Amino acid sequence: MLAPMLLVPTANLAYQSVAQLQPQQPSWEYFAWLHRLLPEPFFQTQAFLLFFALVAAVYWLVPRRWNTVRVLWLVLVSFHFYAAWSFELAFLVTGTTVLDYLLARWMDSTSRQRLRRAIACSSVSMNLGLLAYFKYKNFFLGSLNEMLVGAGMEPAFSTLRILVPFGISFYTFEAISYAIDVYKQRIKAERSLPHFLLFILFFPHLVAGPIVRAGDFLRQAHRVKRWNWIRVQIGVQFFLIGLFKKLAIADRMAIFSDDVLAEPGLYSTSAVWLAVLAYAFRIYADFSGYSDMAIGLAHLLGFKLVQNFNMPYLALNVSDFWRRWHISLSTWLRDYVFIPLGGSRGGAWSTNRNLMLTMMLGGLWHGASWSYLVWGTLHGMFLVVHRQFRAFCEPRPRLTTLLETHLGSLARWFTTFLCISMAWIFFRPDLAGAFEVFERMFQLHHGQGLLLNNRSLWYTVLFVFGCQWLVSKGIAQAVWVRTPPPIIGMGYAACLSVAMILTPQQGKTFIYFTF
Amino acid sequence: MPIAPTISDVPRSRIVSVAIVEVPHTPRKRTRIGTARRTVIWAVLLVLGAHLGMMTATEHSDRLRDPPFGDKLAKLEQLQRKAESEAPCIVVLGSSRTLLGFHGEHAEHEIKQTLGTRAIAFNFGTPASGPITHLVYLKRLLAAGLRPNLLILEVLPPALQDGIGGPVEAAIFPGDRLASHEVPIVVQYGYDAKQTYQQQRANTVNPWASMRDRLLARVLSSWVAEGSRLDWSRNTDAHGWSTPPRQSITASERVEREAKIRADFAMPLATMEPKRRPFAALREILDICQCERIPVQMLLMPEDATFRKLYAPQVTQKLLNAMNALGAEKHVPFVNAREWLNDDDFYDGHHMFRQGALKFTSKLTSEIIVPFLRDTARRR
Repeated sequence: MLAPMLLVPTANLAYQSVAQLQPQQPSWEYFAWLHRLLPEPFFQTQAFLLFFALVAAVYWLVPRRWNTVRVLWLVLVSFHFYAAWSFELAFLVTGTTVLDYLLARWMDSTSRQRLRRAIACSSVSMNLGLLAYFKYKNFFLGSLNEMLVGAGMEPAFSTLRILVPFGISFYTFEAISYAIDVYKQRIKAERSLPHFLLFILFFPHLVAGPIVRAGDFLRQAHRVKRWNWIRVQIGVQFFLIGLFKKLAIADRMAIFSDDVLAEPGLYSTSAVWLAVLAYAFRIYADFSGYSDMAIGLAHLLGFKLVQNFNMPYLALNVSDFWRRWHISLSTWLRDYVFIPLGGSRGGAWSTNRNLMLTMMLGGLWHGASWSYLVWGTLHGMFLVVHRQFRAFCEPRPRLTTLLETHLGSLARWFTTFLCISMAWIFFRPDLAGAFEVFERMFQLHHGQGLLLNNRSLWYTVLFVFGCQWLVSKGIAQAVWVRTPPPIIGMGYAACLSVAMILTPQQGKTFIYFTF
Repeated sequence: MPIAPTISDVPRSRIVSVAIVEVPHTPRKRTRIGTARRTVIWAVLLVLGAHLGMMTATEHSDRLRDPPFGDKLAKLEQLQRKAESEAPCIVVLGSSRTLLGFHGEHAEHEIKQTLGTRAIAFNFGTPASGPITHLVYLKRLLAAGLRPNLLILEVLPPALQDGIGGPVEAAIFPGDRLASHEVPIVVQYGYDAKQTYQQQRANTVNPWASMRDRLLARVLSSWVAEGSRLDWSRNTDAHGWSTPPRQSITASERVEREAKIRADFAMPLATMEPKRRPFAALREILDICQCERIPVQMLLMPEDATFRKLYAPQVTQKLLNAMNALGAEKHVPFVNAREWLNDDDFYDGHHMFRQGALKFTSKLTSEIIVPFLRDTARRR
């Protein structure tokens, strides 16, 4: 049982190259043993669930009045959670976190504005530098080589096989937001190192967010937590829903999307269209499923993380979509990029410029590849077009009324969903492949069909939309509060069992694990 | 309701100390806490119950754990229920050659015409099965109370081979299709112990995940990839027989299939040694039949000329000598039907079209089954 068996078999870790995802076998015996116990930082594995059961049991057994002991315990297990994957990178993350802590304390201890600014810049530069080195070095060097080759010269830069620390995009953003908030005196620098380490290393959100704000999290870290059955139920519910999304929806949609989008030239036009639809749901279920599991685990430890998704595919326009999709990232970009650039305070041109720059940066944050930049640029364009269209509609009340009818809303929803789904085609490391997918979609081609009958694809899509509609109308909540506990308990058991039945044989890693 | 007065009501100069007072839970909140607690407890109990229930069902239900066997058994039991109580039951236990070759309904018809009596003729062929699978299936049949009056046991020469990682059957008949008490049987005959126990244990540790393709294939078969469904047995006829969807092939298809046969079978058939552990499993089947007083006949199924040429001459001789010796030792007749059919009765050299199946069944019935039944009736 202690062998690292999976809740369901996961055979395929290759979303990016294996060299980037798999660390070397640790040389220290202790960490090698740890790696054998917990080889992957994924929540859906049996090894992780055993790990979490142990962590939660010890956590809640520690008396309430020893809150610092609880915090230290969580810091220790979070470090081990990371070190089980790569102890060198765990030390790196911890080291940079300590530096951020010290820099913030120093910033707080002085009132000299120039010194405070210099310290804040140092902290931000250190984090951005880490991100640039680990995530973007090969991308920049590779692009420079391509430019040299394009100019008829020999490539001059060799790329390195770098193991990208998982979660680096998330925790560097958290550290950057902390440094800026302390600089702008929105919050005081955290005085307790264990609490600050917990803010960065807290394992439920370490892998792929949500991106938490220091003010909110540290307040919770200091609060003494009592065992609360309501919170336990919420945590269990979130976790099970997240697990269902990941296993039964995301991994199942991957059957329809991955092979087709990897080699679109082999497949028919209809197969490629269906693969694009499946991919849109795969990304949503994968990431929101992970977020739900993270939120559920945090609840079970007495912490409340921010909601990260709010039924994004029900959005009626792209602005609405970004208020519902990866909420922690979009608010981070708004507060630390868009607003400092000027936000919407200037005229239309500067607002649109700021939107484009913010979204391009957001695209690049997701992956070190031109295709992610294109994806971000597309979303920037969608936002700009939406702003302009809204401005166009404002003096035209009839048009506004027409757009707000049922048919108008349906048209808006469909247009939004279509644009988002088309943009997802670029949400892969391969730019040339994305163009090939487009070509395959908009010119009639014969070829192979999908690997599996598309019935399960349509039923899954309808199921997701159906559930979200019920929640958006409040029907699900109204039924839920009236349902007796045994029935809800049966629902949870059914959710878990059905998730395990529907998951395909070939499991997939989390997409956002690679960011 | 707060017990302490609100701070803002008190002038600052009068504040001496501040006491944090716990706000007691309101009745509504107590109800919500109680509901949440009951919900979580029910969830834990039901998850455990579902797990234990599935674990038990997987261990005890052959049909759930091994759908091809379960489907075949169900069809055989149905035939027995419909037939007269005295009707003798002939079971042909074999591989996909048997699955496509033995037409039970046709055999019953021929028996009725020749002897004037009813009999049950059932096809228990399963693809890629060999003596180890047949041994497990025989034990299961006996445990289910089914004792055939005549067991015709196909011997599949490629399955007598021990592969590098164990018997070739292990890949098709893995540990998760076995009950816990069956694992030692297959391990004894060459299955990798660690891997087989791990596969079988998956049914205990996580039965819902382990059984998922089999469960889903029963309810939503289009949701499962064809190779994972294990539901081919549902499409056999009432006597367990199946046939290819197309009943003829073109010349180019025949050439292609012959090339495939050579690629798949040339190596094992050139070097086959019928003395390894799978052969020992065959012996145990015969011992069980002897012990249970079940008349048994061993059978080498028909093959076309191309397929027969794949056997090295010395291998053919070894095989026939071994079969004859085993038959003599155990007093079990051995029928060599390899040359019973023409080449165009096969679609790939060793699996029959419908016409081939009917021809083979007629010959088997007239030469083996009818004489046996006649003898049995005479002795009574």
